[in-house]
Amino acid sequence: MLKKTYRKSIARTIRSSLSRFLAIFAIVALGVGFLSGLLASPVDMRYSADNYYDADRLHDLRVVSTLGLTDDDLAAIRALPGIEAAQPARDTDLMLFSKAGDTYTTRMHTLTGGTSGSDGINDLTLTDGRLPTAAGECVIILTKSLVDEGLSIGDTLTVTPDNDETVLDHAPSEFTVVGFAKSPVYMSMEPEHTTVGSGTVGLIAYTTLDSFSYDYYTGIYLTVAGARALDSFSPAYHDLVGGVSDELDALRPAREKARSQQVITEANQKLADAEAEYNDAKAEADTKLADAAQKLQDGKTELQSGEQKLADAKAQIESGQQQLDDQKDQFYATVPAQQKQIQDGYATLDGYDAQLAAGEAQLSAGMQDYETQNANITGLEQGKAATAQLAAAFGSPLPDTSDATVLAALPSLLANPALPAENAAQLSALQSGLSALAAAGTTTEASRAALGTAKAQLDATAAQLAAQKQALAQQRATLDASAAQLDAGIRTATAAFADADAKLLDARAQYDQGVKDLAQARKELADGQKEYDDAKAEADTKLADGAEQLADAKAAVRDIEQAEWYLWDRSDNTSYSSYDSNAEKVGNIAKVFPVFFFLVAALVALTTMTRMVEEERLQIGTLKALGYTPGQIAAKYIFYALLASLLGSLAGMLVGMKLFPSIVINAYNIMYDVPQALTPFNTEYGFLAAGAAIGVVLIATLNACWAELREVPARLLLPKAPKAGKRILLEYITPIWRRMKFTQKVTARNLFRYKKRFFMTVFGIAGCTALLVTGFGLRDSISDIVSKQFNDLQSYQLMVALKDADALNGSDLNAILSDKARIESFTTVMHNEGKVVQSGNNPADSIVLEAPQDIEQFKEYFEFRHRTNPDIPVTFDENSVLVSEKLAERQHWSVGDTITVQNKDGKQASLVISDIFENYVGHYIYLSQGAYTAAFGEEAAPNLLLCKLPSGQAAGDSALAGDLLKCRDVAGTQFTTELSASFERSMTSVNFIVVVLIFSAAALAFVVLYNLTNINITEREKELATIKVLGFYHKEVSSYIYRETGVLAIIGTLCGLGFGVFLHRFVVLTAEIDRVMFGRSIYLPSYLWSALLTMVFTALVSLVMQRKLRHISMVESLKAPE
Amino acid sequence: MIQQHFITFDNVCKYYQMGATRIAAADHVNFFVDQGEFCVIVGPSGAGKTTVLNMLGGMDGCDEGRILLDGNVVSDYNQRQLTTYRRYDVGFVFQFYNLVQNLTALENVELASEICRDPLPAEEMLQHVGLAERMNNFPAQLSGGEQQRVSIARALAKNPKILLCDEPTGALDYNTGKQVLSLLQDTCRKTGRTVIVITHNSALTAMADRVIHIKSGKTLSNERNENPIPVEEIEW
Repeated sequence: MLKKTYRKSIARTIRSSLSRFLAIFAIVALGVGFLSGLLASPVDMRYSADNYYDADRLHDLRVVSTLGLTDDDLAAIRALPGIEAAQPARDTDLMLFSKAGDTYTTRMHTLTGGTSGSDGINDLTLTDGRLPTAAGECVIILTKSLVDEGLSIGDTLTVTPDNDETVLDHAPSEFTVVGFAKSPVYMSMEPEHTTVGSGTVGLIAYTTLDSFSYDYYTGIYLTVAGARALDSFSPAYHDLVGGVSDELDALRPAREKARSQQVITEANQKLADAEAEYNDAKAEADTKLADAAQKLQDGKTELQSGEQKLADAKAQIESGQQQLDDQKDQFYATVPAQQKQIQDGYATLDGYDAQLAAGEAQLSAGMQDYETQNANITGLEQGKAATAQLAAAFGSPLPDTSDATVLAALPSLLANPALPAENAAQLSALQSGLSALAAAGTTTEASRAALGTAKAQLDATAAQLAAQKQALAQQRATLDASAAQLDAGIRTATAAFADADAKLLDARAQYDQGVKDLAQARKELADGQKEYDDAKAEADTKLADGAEQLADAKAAVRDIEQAEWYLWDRSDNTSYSSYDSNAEKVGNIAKVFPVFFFLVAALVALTTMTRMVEEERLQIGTLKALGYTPGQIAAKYIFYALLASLLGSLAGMLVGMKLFPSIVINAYNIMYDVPQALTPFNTEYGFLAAGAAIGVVLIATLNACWAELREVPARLLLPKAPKAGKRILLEYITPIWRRMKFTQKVTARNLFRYKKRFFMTVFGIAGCTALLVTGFGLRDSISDIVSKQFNDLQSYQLMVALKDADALNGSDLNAILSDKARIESFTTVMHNEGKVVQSGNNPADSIVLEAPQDIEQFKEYFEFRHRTNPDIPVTFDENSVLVSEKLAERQHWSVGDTITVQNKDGKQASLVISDIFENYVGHYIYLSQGAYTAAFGEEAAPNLLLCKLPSGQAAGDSALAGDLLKCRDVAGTQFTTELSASFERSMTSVNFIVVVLIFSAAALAFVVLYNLTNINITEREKELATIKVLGFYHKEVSSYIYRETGVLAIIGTLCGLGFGVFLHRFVVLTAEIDRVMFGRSIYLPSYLWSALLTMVFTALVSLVMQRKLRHISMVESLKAPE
Repeated sequence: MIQQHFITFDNVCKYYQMGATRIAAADHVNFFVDQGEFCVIVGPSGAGKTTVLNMLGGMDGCDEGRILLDGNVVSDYNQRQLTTYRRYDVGFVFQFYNLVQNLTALENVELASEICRDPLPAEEMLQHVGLAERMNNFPAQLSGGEQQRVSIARALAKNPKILLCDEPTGALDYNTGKQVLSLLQDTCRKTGRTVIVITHNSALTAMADRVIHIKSGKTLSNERNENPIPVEEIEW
């Protein structure tokens, strides 16, 4: 028993060495807080989730049948013992289309419960609006990955796209959004798979049961009586639910059989109906076709008679024409001869006329000649008369008046000067005239006679000519009459011909019309025939189809498989199982993290208690001398340590068990929707952690006491010989040692003098740095996902999913794709979401199979590289099969392995891995189109576009997305920024973890360094006082101590940087989400920050300890050694 | 004139507050020491010797009066100036040697000489105190007398103006104590350095050039001993 005075002594010891007491208290609090908090974290995670499940009554079991379930099934299940409640559902996966043009691959559940707190199953927690109350209303489920998806209350979603009029059987044509809610079924952000649409559920909604009019249920949700009282993650729960599951199993064969029978009966009935319908339809079609054929035949006959008539008419017209033409020919053949005759007549007449005219001209010339000669002769005669007179006058009358006489007389006359001048001219003319006549041998008288004759002849000719003229005029009149007669004849004939022509034309026109009418009739007949043929073909096809369908239906009825029930418990719920495995990961971390806190705690306790016992050596000796037993003496220190560690444990538990679980749960709430982080006090782990901590401290204390208590009091009463100085290894390396400064030598010696302290400090600081490296490294790892995946590896910014490769022929889409201002470039890929065919214990991971259309081009959109060895290129050619790193890691695959994977349609193929490439988000297998086709036996038609946007284009341009969605066969768009943003969001919570780690590290550094420095100073108080007396300035005194701390801090930091890498690796591997690979590297700044912060913590502790150092009194140096 | 003396304590007072009462540890202490003197300050336990030592050694200030050394007013110094004063002007020999256990004899001497302006060579100093052979031994390997001699060597190596010894023989046996005192006396005679020994042993007064008696915080006397005798001849 402790005596009163002794107790006082203990109380005083605690008071006087509060900092030492606090050191133990703090490190124990830290250790216990960490251990109990982290150990409790997975428990609290599960507890919080279980609480949520219980509150919203997550189903314990779900029965799904391949042929649906009936009310009889429901009744049978409800009748089972152990079932608390059973609710039927008509859950349906379907495509929904929004007015905005978005397509949603939707999982449409039907309500099995109400709002949170009702007594249903899978209650929903409304966040906005209300629950659906009528068919066609739905409430959208918000999950971590599916936020509002751009929908708001009042929006309608159609089950078919705008341009499609078809409707789905048994479903309303549209759903109206009436609210938003959260569901315990979808607590995680893991994708749900489906067989419709994109293969991944993009929208989850709840509607009323009567929205779907099937006469069966797709599933029945069950709760098990008493299951709510149990922890959903506990074996007890699984046992209880397993028991009920076994009952269901027992029930199932009968129900399966009944349902199968019912379905087959119904199907047969339907088949019979269909057959009857088919036969009716066939008969009706046959009748109709026969009528049509008859009509066609009639038409044909009519047409033929018409054709005959027309041919007759044509012949008639042709013969009439012929006759007319003959007549015309005949007539027109005579006319030219007659016309010629007349013309000839005129020509002859004209000839006569010319002759007459010539005669008349001759006549008139003759007359004129006569007149001239007559005048000439007359002149001569008158001259002769005048001559005779003159001659007479002169006296020499002329014998006669003959020419010769006159002529002879004339010269004398002319020579007579009495001759008047006027007579002279007359006489000379007469002379020449008469001479001329004489020369011609004639005379005036002869000429007069000849003239008389000529005159008579002329007159006769004139008379003749006049008679001829008369005759000619008569002939011309006759000719004119016959010409007129001919003209009249022609005119009459022409008119007659024209008349005949007109008549013929008429007949011809009539004929043409007939031909046209006939052609029309023929065309009509042909049309009729075609129509008939088409109708017949169609009817035949339809009937053939009907027959085919009927055959198929018959086959289907034959092939109806036995109904098969699937019993799913909560482990089959994606979020439940992934949450459970994450809780386990936290548990794994909890097993490692606190270890060095405990290690450091043990070291702190050991050094502290050793120091304490040493300090009180004299007292121990005295007590021993006074007769106290070693047990009693040790009790003081044990009590001291016990008190410190007990209080520390208590504080640690209280804070740690609240703090760490809530941090962990909140951090996991990036991915999960656990509404309430519950952190009940966990007695078991509390005791475990406290017990461990107290045990460690007590063992350290006993160890410290042991050495002293063994000694005899006499020796204890002597001051303990100071620990002798020792040469250290370094001193034997003379070149180095000699070069070291004096103070450095002291530091070096001191460092190696106290090994326990050395290790404690190095351990503590290393732990601090390692925690910091882990924290900062974790940040690096997650930011790597964003920067590496979305910047380094992927160089596209937009993905466009296509319903069909045919979309690429669409003009709208091509217009957008070729607009360089909107989309810089794009490449096409076949994208197929399949899964790994499970082998061994490896998880059945969902994978994406991608086959680029143009491999070389694709490499500009995704950089294939090795993470650890970027210098060795990844080859991607026709024969390559490239697997993403995380997938290979999870499946334990390596290059050259043969793997079996399954595509979306369930086709399986074996592939040989040719390389493994760096990738952070999702599991991918890349292969060429040829390789895909060869492996899966189906064409790798492109259904995904990867687009690069022009730089400067606003990220997440919704107008572009909207326009793309309007294009034919475009299923959806996704900007990579949307994905990267969600990862960036998760960064914030990592920052939170980093802060926690920094604080833990700081606490660790403080406790360790404070304790070390404290011990260092108190233990060497006298030494420090002495050097102060020797005239060391304060700075020099500080550095005398802190140089050691500094060196230890540096060694510790270096160790910590190394250790941190391993700790970080461990935490990253443990904390990674299934589908995401965190970055595995830590960057230089993180190391620098960790080292810097460690140094800052060290400096802070040093700063705090300065006070103590300053307060060391020099008078200490005068005191005797202890 | 006061200034003519090497060390002067002029009406120096030092008070300690003990609860409500104020105790005068030094109550108008007056004395002087001339350069090169071997001075012994003697008094019974609790007389205020240590207080005087603290003030003279620059480890503590005074509340009243003036302390002068070599014309400098030490009593006006601030903390830093006091440190500098200790560093360059005072060599301290402790009752319990106060050697750094982790350093060899030589290194202990160097510890002091490292920080001085013009230190005397450490090896020479150890030779001077007769420890040339043990230079590389750690304190734990040396006897008490040897340790004290290292301590003296350390004080001397600083080449101080005064050598201040606090009960240098207190932890030593009779003969060893005598040897140490002899060393101090020799040092004083040979180097002309002012040595001040503080002790409760009045027998030592015989070897001093100057003897200062202190009792109850007051100086009883300050006498010059014109005929100091070698320490070997003193018995106690």
